Amino acid sequence: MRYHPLPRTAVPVVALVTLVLVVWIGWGSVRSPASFWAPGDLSRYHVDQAGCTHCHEPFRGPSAARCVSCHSERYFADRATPAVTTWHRELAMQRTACTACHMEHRGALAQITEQARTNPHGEFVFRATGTSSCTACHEFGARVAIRPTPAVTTWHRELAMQRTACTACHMEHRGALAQITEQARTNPHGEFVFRATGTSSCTACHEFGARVAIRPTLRDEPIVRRLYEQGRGAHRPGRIAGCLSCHSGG
Amino acid sequence: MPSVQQRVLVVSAVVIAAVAGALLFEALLSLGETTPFGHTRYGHAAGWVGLAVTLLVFVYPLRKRISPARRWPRGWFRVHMVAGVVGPLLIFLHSGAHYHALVPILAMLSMVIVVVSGIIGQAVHAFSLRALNDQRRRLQHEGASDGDIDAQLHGMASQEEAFRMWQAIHAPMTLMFLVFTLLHVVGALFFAGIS
Repeated sequence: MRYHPLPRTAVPVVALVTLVLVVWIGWGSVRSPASFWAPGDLSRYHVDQAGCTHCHEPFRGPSAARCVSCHSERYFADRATPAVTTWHRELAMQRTACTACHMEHRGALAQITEQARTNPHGEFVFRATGTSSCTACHEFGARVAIRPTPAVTTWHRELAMQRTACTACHMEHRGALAQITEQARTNPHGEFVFRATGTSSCTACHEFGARVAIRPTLRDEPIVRRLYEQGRGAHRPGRIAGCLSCHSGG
Repeated sequence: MPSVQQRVLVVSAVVIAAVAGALLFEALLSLGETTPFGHTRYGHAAGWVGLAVTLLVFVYPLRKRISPARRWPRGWFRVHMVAGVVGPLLIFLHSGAHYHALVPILAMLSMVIVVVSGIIGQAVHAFSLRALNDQRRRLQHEGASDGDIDAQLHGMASQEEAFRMWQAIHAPMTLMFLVFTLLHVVGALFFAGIS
């Protein structure tokens, strides 16, 4: 079988079209480089960055040096808890790449931190409350686990020494707002009581036993006395539990 | 002997199944992961391997041009066909169904045009040309005149002429494929780093 010769215009036409597209890419790389080169949209945390080289060093990728230029020691001191700051400082001293835990270009609403806690209030809670971080209302440990009280710590240490399975009391995969502890007490005041009272934990006002199933008692603390005083004028004096008849669920 | 239309349907179905299979495999590898497979180190490695295999296709045309007097390199033609299919399938595994940046999209589109035109050339056009020649020989053997033969084979000849278009596309589009692939590789190394 013999094929016909290639048309003489074929190669010049393709070459011309290629050249036009390359020029278009060059022009577009100046105007909107992300559209031409990025594997995905930037998250809402970095979308206001001016250019690619804010984070990317040419032929070296997103380097820690570029991250630290914005996420400096001062940045962490202003916005993070001391535990989180220390955690990141140790990783920086070990020269751990920021990209080991933080990933970008996965869309505007994507989480950029590996194993990040899902926000159960929805993303608009920051705008609605005038805050910029979960730590404005919530207390977190070095990894986003909740800080335990000494009694609870001792309780769990004893169970660990007895090699009791964690899943004997804790159950997961039941939804973002579900309790993960068996017989855990539901907060009858609602989640916003912490912001309303300026506290960060149930233990600011209540005394609990080793098992949180035991009925809590009120602590003799300034916050508790203040709330008694505030309740007295507008409502009736007496037990704070009486407030729940109107303020149930926070 | 199956018709050219049947051949086109079979070839189309096989191509679609192969591409879908590669994309589904990438989706399977991405299940439960925070990052799609194509954006991981293994996904990048699949891209490098796919590129290396695809570059093997150029040995055949280079041998034809460097030594035109030598016997047609049948073995390297087979390598050309196999590498021209396996390499792009690895590229589909590397990309997955995640398309955002325009430069890799252009590289992918030009690769698809080159590969599909090559498949049409070998699997469909060659079949159509052989069928046309066989039919012409049969009519000549039966004693038909040249005018009668042309009249009877008009439809088949038009069909063969249409499929001949692959020739005008396949080799020239390789230029566009190489340019955009180079831009994509350099761009990826520029933004993601060489190590």
